[in-house]
Amino acid sequence: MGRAPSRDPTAAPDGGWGWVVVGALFLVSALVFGLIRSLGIFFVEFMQYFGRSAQAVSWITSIGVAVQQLMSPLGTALCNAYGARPVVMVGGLLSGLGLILASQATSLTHLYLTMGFISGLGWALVFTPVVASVMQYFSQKRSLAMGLGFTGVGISSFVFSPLFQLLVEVYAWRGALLILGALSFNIMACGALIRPLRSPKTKTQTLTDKVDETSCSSVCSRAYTYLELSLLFQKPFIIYAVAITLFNAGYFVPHVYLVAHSQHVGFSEYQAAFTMSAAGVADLAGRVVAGLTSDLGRMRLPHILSVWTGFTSLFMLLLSPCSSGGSYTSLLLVSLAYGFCAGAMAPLIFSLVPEIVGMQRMLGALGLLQLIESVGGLLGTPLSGWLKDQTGSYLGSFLLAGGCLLLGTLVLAGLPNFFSCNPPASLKCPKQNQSPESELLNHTVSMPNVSSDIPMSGAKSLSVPYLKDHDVQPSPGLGLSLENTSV
Amino acid sequence: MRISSACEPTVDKQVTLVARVSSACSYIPCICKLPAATPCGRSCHRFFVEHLGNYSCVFYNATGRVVKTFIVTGPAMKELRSKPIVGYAGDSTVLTCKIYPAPLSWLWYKVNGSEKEVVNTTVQSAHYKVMVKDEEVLLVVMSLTEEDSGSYLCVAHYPISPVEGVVHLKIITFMEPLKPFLVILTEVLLLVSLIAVCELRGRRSTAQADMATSENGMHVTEVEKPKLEERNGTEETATRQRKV
Repeated sequence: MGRAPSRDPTAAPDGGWGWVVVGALFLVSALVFGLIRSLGIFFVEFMQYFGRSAQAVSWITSIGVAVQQLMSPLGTALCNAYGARPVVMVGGLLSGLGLILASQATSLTHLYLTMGFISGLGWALVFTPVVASVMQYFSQKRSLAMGLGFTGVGISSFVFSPLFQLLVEVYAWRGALLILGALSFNIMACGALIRPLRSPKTKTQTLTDKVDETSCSSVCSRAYTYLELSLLFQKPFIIYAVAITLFNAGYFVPHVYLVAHSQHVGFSEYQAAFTMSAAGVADLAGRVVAGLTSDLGRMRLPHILSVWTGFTSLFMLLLSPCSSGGSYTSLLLVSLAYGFCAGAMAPLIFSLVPEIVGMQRMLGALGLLQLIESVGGLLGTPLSGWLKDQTGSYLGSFLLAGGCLLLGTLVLAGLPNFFSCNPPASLKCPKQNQSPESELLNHTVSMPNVSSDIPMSGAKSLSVPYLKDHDVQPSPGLGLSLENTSV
Repeated sequence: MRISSACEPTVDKQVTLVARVSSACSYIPCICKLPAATPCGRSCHRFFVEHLGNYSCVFYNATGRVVKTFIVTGPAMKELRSKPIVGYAGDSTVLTCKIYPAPLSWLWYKVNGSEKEVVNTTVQSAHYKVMVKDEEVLLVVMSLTEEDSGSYLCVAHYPISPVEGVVHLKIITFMEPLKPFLVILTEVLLLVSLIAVCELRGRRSTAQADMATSENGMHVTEVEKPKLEERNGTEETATRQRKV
């Protein structure tokens, strides 16, 4: 790998400007999910100002996260059409705008609409495109890049909690939301940093060669390709989607309820907040460590993911029993362990996607996955809240969350070739054949089926499946040039 | 002889003192400075207090005597914010006080200097609204102005004595948060323009370099020139496709 003259320009650089994009991911994850996590500080203010219950107010983040995940396919489809940069910048504008409008809210419904829908839509246009851009920039060090990028969430929730507290004390929630909106505009600067690796128009070019641009069927087929809807019919993708949904159902429960649970058991506010912060630090460490270790290639990625999710569910189940005893150290220890494992699984969930669907469909797959997993999030956290209201303690909620994660781990074992030591062949595009030779022949004939994204450049552990997926980049005027899998 | 007793905050003018004695003792009379201590069972006395404070009792039996001092306290306000609540001029805000157990009645006062002025909701119903929810009282102040800033006193009335809590209110205008908002906005615009300028400059210099090298006769496809602007700046010089 290097600057060999015959190297294709669209191979994953695995360095250089890629680290700047990782920095952009860091900031974006900080400003999106770090912000969402620290919104709890506003809830007390909203409850007091609008006189509504905690459950009604918690719908704000639920709607925000749900919209972010539901609209993710839209974000990735637009990304396929126009490239990541403009989409992320528009998303940054929307998310900031939502918060600014929220500062003028006079009822809780206004907050649902502004902080929930508008900001949620902005976050959808931002998050998945940036994640996908990082994955395009890296192949061998993908998990590390993802892990480093996602540390933004942890560090920011560490920084944002006292910052938001200070803002609310000085400016009340209206002024604080206004300032947060301005902070969210920084996402636009992050989006400006994402230099496109390939021409964003090549997907369109392959389609417009044969189809009339303005007809309805062409729009539908373009949408179908951009959204990668064909993935919905393929078994490995469905299995992975179900597993991710279950993970999502349980993952956020402790984040939402840990502080409340600690106070419920009898610890002071500061102790409870410290538990959350400690879990956050462990989460950070978990992300980086997971990224580093999984890139070593010793174990297959699905196995590593199962290990981490198994441990996360274990510690989630232990959270309630260990803390009810009244011992602060045991609560702290379990929270730390839970934080570490939960952080470890986060970057791996994304890094596993190209191994399952292949690099050229990764963008659409990410969007679809976010959409499908939103069901888990929508059901999981309110269900836990309802359990808490019914039983009076958080034991049921944590049990449910841990159970969901455990179930997800078991579903993950249903991935094809899970129990073998060699990575399986990844998903084929429709109409592609098994053997490389006939594939090449078919590619010269059936151009609309080839989406000309990044070729499979191989991480050591990933190079085997992609040998069958040579992608051909149709470059007009050049004839066919075969892309090498770079090692 | 050991005496132990539990002390809970009291709200009524009647305190039940339950003294647990070691098993060696039998019925122990109590001589206290408290009026009309009446027995309410084995080792249990009930007596009346007029104020909160310290009361002492002497317990004795055949072998010895023990003097015990009891501190009779009332309930305390819960979750009182020491920092002022911030409100915006023209907006409304909510001041709360919470106490356990639920008092007989609540009353709000506005502190003007050294005087307390009752917050009259009937006279100023457009400005103030009081909502009582058992253990919590809410004072909603609407159409805030600069004069509304200051300290408010919430008083919970119990049979034994009232309990006070202080809440501070501070009024600011919307100009206050607007200043950091505009600062951050300018910073974002500067960053975006900086990034755009840097990238355009990088493209221009590499485009010039490519123009120079193409004049030297290297094989460069015509397609590459429009593609140059989409490529990573650091990769441009190395990643030209050659005709295979």
